[in-house]
Amino acid sequence: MKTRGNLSLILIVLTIFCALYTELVNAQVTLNVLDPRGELFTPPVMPTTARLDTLAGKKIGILNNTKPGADAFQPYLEKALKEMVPTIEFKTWVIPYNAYPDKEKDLKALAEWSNGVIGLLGD
Amino acid sequence: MIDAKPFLADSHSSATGAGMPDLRIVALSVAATAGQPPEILEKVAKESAKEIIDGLTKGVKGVVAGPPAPLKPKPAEVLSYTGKNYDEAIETMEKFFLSNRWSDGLPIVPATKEAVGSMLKGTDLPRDHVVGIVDPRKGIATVEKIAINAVMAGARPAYMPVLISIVQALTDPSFDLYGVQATGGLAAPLVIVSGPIIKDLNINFSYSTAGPGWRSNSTIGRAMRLILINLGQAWPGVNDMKDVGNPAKFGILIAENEAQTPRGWPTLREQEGFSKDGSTISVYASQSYRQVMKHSIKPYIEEATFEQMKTALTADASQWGEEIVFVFSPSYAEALANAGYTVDSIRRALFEEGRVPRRIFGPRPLGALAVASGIPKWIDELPDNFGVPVVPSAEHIKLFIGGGRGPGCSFMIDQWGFGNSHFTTKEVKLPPNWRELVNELKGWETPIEVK
Repeated sequence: MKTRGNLSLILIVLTIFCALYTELVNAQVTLNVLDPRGELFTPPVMPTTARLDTLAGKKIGILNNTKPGADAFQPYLEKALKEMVPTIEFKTWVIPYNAYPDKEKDLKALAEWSNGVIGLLGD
Repeated sequence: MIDAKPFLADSHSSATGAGMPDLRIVALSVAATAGQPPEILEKVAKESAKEIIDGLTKGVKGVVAGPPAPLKPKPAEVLSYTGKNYDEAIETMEKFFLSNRWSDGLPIVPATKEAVGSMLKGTDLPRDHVVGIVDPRKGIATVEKIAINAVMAGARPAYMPVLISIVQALTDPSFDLYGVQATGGLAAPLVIVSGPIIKDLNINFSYSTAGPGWRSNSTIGRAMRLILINLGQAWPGVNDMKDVGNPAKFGILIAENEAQTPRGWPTLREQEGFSKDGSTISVYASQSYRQVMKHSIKPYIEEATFEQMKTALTADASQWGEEIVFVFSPSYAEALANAGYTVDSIRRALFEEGRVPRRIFGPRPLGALAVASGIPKWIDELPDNFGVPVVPSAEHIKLFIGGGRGPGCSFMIDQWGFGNSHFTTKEVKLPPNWRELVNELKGWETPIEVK
């Protein structure tokens, strides 16, 4: 009886020891920091204008933003589109990319003339 | 909108930021169209024609037009990182920040609630006060967010007034932060400090003012970069398209050496129209840093400066119209002053003598990019060898004394000249507990050599 009692005691001590050891091994430290990112200001959302049913016979304004690639690519673009839709009419507005705020009149004229606009070139 | 391939993510990001998330963008299959041979351009145009036509004719999902969201930023969220011990938890945080592009690559000081609370003692502004909107993604810079990034950089609370002024300057429309952040040109904001705050904060204004070694110089510059990363959210190759980048993106702060400025020469803050009694910070979209030497083969001290001025446009004359900054070392300034120069007269002399021949602007007529860069049409009419001033006026030249008394090596710093960015100066406003904040800096100083 005494032996059984001793054995039980040893078992209990061992169990407690194992539990404590496991807890020690699995102990975690949690580091809490504040998020450095800013919330983003949401500007007014402007929906895309309705798409055209066809480009045939349509006036397409080209907004050339004067980046180096725009001049290089524009003639080839117009040629390729004309080959697919011969009756497109193109007209170009050259408005520097860094002058838009001061060029409202020109941008309005572009919008008024055009059925659709292609912007060249985003670099 | 048509784009070259590498700029597609940049374009979508810009369109969304401008309130046009549905803008139809077609990416060409080349990295750039400028300089391509005709057969390539023809091939690319044919390949993309159908997609361009679809962009104009096929339906889009459609977004509902709406007003801007009200500017009521929420308090910063708490983020948690675990580990077997504190070091491991920090490592977990660092790895997360790096993989999400919230870091500048250097080890970060954890912005705990307690650390940010201490940092906020550096200002009397409320933590939800909006200082500015940071481009390109229009992150809202509250005082709290500035403080969080300041902690991460290792800054001290006393630096907060300077950081708040820096954010005010960066987000001022005159600085064109959107352009500076997003451009493919190699631009980076440079911070220049002028005034008594330099001494208060142990900012190095002497030998190697533009270098490391001082807690203030290094961490204010670093905090600015972390603010641009985390609030502006400009990421290399995504919406920051600089090919090579710029070492100044690590965050450079230069301080004016007022003590060794020649007698009678106004300080930078006075030149900018501010009181000598206060302090200012200026931000400048720096591009290249070139050495100007006192010792040269030229007979006259100032000729080295004139020669260097002429090089400002030799790489790219289409950047005409920019401002130019000179940081004269004390010995160089002393030599100029002994030769009879004042700030005004050296600026006038640089404007008159620092000229480039008309032919470097290219053949007539000036191309569209030249016009876009602000090169006036009268330059077209000049003869090829006519000397065109490098800057539009003497007032476009900023100069001040910085650094220690050495052999006379000074800096000419030219500006990113493709956008609308201007040298922008703001006053540094101090909180009521300023002296207490300055006293807290005891022990955080590095000696400054002045000879």
